[in-house]
Amino acid sequence: MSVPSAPDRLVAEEADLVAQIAAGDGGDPLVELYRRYERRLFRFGVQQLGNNGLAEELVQETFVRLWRTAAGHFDAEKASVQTYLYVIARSVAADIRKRPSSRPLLPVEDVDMPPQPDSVDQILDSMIVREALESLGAGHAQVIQLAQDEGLTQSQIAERLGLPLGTVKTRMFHGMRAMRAALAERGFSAL
Amino acid sequence: MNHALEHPDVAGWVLGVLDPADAAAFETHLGSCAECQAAVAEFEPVARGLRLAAPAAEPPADLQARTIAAVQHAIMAAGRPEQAPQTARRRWQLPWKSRFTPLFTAVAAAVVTAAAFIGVQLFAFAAPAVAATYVLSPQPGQAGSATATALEVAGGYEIKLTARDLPKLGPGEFFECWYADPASGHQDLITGGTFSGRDGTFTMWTAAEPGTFRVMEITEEKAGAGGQLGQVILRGTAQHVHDDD
Repeated sequence: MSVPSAPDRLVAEEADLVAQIAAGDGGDPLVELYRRYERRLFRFGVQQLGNNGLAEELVQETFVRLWRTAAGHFDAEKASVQTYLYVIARSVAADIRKRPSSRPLLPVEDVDMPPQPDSVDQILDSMIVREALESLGAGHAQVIQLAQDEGLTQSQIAERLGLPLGTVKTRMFHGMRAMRAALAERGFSAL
Repeated sequence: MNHALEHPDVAGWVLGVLDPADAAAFETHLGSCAECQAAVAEFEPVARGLRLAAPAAEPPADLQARTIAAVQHAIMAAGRPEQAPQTARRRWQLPWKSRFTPLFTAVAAAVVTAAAFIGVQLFAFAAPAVAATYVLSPQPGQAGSATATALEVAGGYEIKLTARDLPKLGPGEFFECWYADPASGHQDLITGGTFSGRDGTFTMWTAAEPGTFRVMEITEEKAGAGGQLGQVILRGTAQHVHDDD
């Protein structure tokens, strides 16, 4: 008899948590699942809706729909809990966007939004990238984030951090190499 | 020395953040350097991945409590009968004037418990109605969170409180749940029961009507002390209050 791998055990464990929630247990199983997915779902909400308040609503509604649908729709043979949750979250995001009160005040082309993932795989990749970035040492992560999130040039980064330009160049190089390793460890699909 | 380290600009070039002069110099070098071309191939998927990164937003500390309360409210609401027996509900109009003495509190708790027990026997087949839900947040300098649901039962309310990560108790200390009427300037205060677990779900009984005693507080108290003397750890206001007027 083969011993299940760690990812398989995690998938089975989460399926069991959902089974308990489906049976009406709104206590520990729900809290455990929430803790595992809170940050990722919240970030997905911000990414999809461009607003922290709407992202909070998305997280709440995703878990309410998880409970409502778990008994009749979730099938551990067909999808993992992770995939199921993101399918729900994507549907919640679509519903929130349809609401007149959720429409952005600016035309869509004027809103500075990151590229929108359009499949569950892309959603997972975007979460993996953020988590990989957060796993880097502070020095490496800082220069990459200033370049990526704020669009600063290396000279501007050096000035902002009070570092020699050569140090910024070296940190960026090692940071990118560490980032590649962190992405590979997490199973990033596009390497 | 590693050739790529002699040309750390490969990372900045792939990310598009080299200063113009550095970018031009690197591009000239790149055309004839197989090692730097290999480094570009290594870093390009990383740069593409970075453009996909989810925002670095952090959820607020109380989102967990609000989400759990929303689900618990949905669970309770789904179990609610379409025609709840009106006769099972009784308003408690006792003249709450000030903080209860421990003796009166004990008597009140016993009365409520007994009444609730009788009510449960009489209406054993009716699912209790949700009177309110609470999300309790830590007060400044405090830790932990909790959610609670008040269920209407004959004779009062059954409170199911789920606490998470409450502070560690010292010897002789316990947690106490209070209900306060905000309209009274926090003078009308009723104790709702005590518990000693830092994590878990605790069931308590109260006569305090959520529509009036809208604020729930959890304090840390010491045995022998009367009234609410300890620090307020968590506080929350009743939500989804069901008013049967």
